[in-house]
Amino acid sequence: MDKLAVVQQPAYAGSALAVVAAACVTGVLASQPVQLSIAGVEAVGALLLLGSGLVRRRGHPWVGGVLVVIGCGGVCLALVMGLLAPSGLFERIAFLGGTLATAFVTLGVFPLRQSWARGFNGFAAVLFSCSLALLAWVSNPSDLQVLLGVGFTIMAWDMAEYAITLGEDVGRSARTYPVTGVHFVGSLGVGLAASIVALVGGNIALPAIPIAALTLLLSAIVVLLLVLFLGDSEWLSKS
Amino acid sequence: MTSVEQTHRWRVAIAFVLFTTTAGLYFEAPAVFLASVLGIAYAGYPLLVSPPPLEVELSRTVTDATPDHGDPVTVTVTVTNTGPRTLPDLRIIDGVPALLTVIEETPRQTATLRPGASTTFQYTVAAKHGSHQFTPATVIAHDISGGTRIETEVAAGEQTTVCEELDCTVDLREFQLRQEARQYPGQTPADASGAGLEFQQTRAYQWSDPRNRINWKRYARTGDLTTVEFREEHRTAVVLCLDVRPAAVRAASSTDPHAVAYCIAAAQEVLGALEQQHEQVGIAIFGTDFDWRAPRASQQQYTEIDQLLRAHEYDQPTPIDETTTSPTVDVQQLVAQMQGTLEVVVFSPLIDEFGETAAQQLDARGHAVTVVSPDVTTGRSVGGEFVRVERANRVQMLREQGVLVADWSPEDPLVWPVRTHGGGSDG
Repeated sequence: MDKLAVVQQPAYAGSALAVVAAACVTGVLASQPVQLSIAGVEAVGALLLLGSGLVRRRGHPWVGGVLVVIGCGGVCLALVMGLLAPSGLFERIAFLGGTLATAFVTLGVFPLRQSWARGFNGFAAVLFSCSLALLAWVSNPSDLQVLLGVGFTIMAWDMAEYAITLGEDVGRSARTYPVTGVHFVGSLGVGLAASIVALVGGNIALPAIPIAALTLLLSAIVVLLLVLFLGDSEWLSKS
Repeated sequence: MTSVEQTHRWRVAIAFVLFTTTAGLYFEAPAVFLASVLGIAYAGYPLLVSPPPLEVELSRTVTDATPDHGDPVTVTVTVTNTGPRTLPDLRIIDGVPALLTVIEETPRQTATLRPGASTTFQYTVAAKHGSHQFTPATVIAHDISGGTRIETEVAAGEQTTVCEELDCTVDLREFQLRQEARQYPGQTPADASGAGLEFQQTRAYQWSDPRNRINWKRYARTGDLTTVEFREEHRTAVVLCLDVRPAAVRAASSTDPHAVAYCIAAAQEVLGALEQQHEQVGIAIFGTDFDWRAPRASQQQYTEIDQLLRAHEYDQPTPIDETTTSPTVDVQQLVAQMQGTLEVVVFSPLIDEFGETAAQQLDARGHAVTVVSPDVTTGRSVGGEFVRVERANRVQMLREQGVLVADWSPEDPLVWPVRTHGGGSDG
């Protein structure tokens, strides 16, 4: 019988990093100073929600309950304020997408339901991507802003996914911050290196390269990656 | 066994690249188009790092390898990276014995280990009756990207100490057999008089009595010839009958061992006591199948019975499926196979009619029956209260019929029942 009292929910350290990264994406999506405050309120609410689980596990159910109420209140307030904040229509939609996505990341790692955690996380990543694309289309943000948004989106997805997997293996009671930290630093390093390459590449004037050629080049890279990944797949090796 | 698995978690980055490329081109947003570099980097991330070789050694120590029931036992586990490379993401899940409850900390740990480095963690389990085997610890390693997952089981290392078992024996008190005997000399005193060491009685001399048994002092004093008789010592044949049917796999709560585990722990203790007395021991196990070993007194027999008992230690507190064979048929089969008058010890929680019926049938055939019944009933629900009352009635019924019953609460020592003057049992 399994009586180890293992709570196989997303690990706290990874979950907290995922929420922070998600809040950073929302911050990138903010076009007004007030929206930055809203993103902050949402981040605090989401972290309080996460912390409530920790407090309850340590034998303070009432304090945990209060934190759940305050955390939910913070997230809901951010969603409402995101809807009502003074801004252009498309900017507001993009920002609202960000706040919604942060809420989904929070629901995924809280978790609302363990079997839905990955679904929520994936949906949040899609929402973030769409919001970033919309923002890029309507307000022509800087390269750095978009790269930060994309980088934080990937980090939020990655850390949430990592927290879910880690939680499935060792539960919530285990000490997870050392391995979470190592994984975070690794992913962050890759993101930073890629961003620097992108920024440097973006600033090099290459008038001679037509867009079609660049697209073909990127497509070739994607196909190469696909082949490399699928090379590991059982179905491909069997056939 | 080691398994290496590609998680493919970064495949999602390829979808991301496709999205940003398409969106960047469609919206004519160079920044979004440029962001696909990030996606490409993450998609290629797991290809840049190679999975580390998972070479670890485990040591496990406990504060007390032979604890008493309910005692907290602290388990200390140390895992050392014996490989040449750093393990950035190591997850360790110790193989806690299935029937033990972890009451403090957790048997799961994560660590980042450089070559030669170790991580140590502790957790505490509550000891329960029985022999509890630790299973090999599961160790999972990921590369830093999380793209490769290596999983293996780690047992004892060559240079390390690994505690494999917690042995929490049942405190068996006042154990004695019911003096039913066969015609072999042994250590169990029988009611019958004859050859032996302990004085039984004197009686009038008969012509066939040996000379060395005549009470010559009395003859000198009174002139009457009397013969001294001693208590005969017979070798007893004992059959341990265990009720391990799925219906008996019931526990007081999800954190307690089930009745079958208690029955097996008690049977192991009785087996040990009988082995010390070199008694003939047989076993009958009523489970999904019927197992029978005729009584014999040999080391091989004791070992086989012990192995058979261990083989029936279920992990699950509830039955997996219902039994298809009729236990009543098994009891009849047992009765047919038991030749002569035997001492029978029935281990059953008595939560249904089976244990009671088996004891009654064996008693009716003239066997000396003792029932050991661990009490796993609770009054926490109406159904539980009903089962408890039914069980108490069964215990009472058996005692009224002259069957000795040890109504054993697993928290307490197992006091062997003795026959009282009224003919019932006390225990």
